[in-house]
Amino acid sequence: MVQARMTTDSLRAQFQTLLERHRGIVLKVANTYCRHVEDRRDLAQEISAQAWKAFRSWDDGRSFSTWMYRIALNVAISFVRSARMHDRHSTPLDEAGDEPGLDDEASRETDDGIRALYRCIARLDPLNRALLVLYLDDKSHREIAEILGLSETNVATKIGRLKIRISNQLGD
Amino acid sequence: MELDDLKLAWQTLDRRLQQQNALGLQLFRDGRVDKARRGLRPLVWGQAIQMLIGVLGSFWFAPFWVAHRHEPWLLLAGLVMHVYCLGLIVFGAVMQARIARIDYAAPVLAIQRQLLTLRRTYVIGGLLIGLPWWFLTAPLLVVLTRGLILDNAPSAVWGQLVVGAIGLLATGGFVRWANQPHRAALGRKLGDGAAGGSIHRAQAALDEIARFEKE
Repeated sequence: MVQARMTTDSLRAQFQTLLERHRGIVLKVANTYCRHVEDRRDLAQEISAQAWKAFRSWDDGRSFSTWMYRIALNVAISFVRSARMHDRHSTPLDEAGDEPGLDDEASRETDDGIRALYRCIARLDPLNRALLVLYLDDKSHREIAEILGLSETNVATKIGRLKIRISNQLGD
Repeated sequence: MELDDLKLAWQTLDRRLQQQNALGLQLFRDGRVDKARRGLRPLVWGQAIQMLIGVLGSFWFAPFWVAHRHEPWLLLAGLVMHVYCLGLIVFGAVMQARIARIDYAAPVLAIQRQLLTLRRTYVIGGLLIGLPWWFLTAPLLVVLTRGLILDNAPSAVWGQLVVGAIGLLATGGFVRWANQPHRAALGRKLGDGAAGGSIHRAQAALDEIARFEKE
């Protein structure tokens, strides 16, 4: 019993260290899928909770970031779908969403870039949002394919189409 | 501005998020884990109770039809109720197995499809379990009265079946009427408040996944 408790405690410590190191994934995904601060907080904690529940099955020979991305995106997409299905308040980003960190000190040019980014995200469905997040995070085609469950060729094609779509949107 | 230009904005956003404490300080809280577990608990418990009702019902109805296997109407009533109870057990077990298989660490498309299929199965299963009750009151009355109702008031049993048939037809007819093109708004409203809307939304999301894969 004591040994089992110690194992759980050490597992929890290991998880918290890894989560802290990869907290950027959780925060970026929560910001991509939720507009309101409260929803973002809820989603970030839901992702962390689901990750902890699944942590025992994580194989430490495999990339933690790929594993974390799968959980974060799965939870986020389900969160948005569930909100839609139950007609809850709007959780997807709107064009005029709350944009984090757009304070007075930030340069106007960068803020414009972030606003454009949010506008693009708001126009995408949940699955294409996932693709965009992974692309913007400089994930390789192989990693994106592994996270989403697509072939590498399919990922390359989709990114090509996404580039055209976003280029057209930004040109509007 | 191109997609690659957005990477700069993304990197800036990433830096700002990392500096924000509001979301990050308590990303992982034990209380939240319990809440996440509770989220699935009503579904799991609901299915467990349904299976228990199925098991108890089977123990009640199986001896009934075995004891009356030479009386066709009693045999039929007992068998119908027994098969319904077996259906409750099988459907509950299928749902429990599907819930247990959900692994959020699996590839996104596979899990999203699995979750949506689970939702659709749950809603359709709910209809298959609920709608037969338009008719099941008749065999249930026969079993509860040990067939006496067939001797004393057979019209009550036939009446139940007729009312059930009318009720089922009326339900189907009303759904059809409400979903005619010129009453689309009414149909949508009714559908949103009933199981039909859930099935439709789950199917639409499944179609969205299929489109995303094919595009």
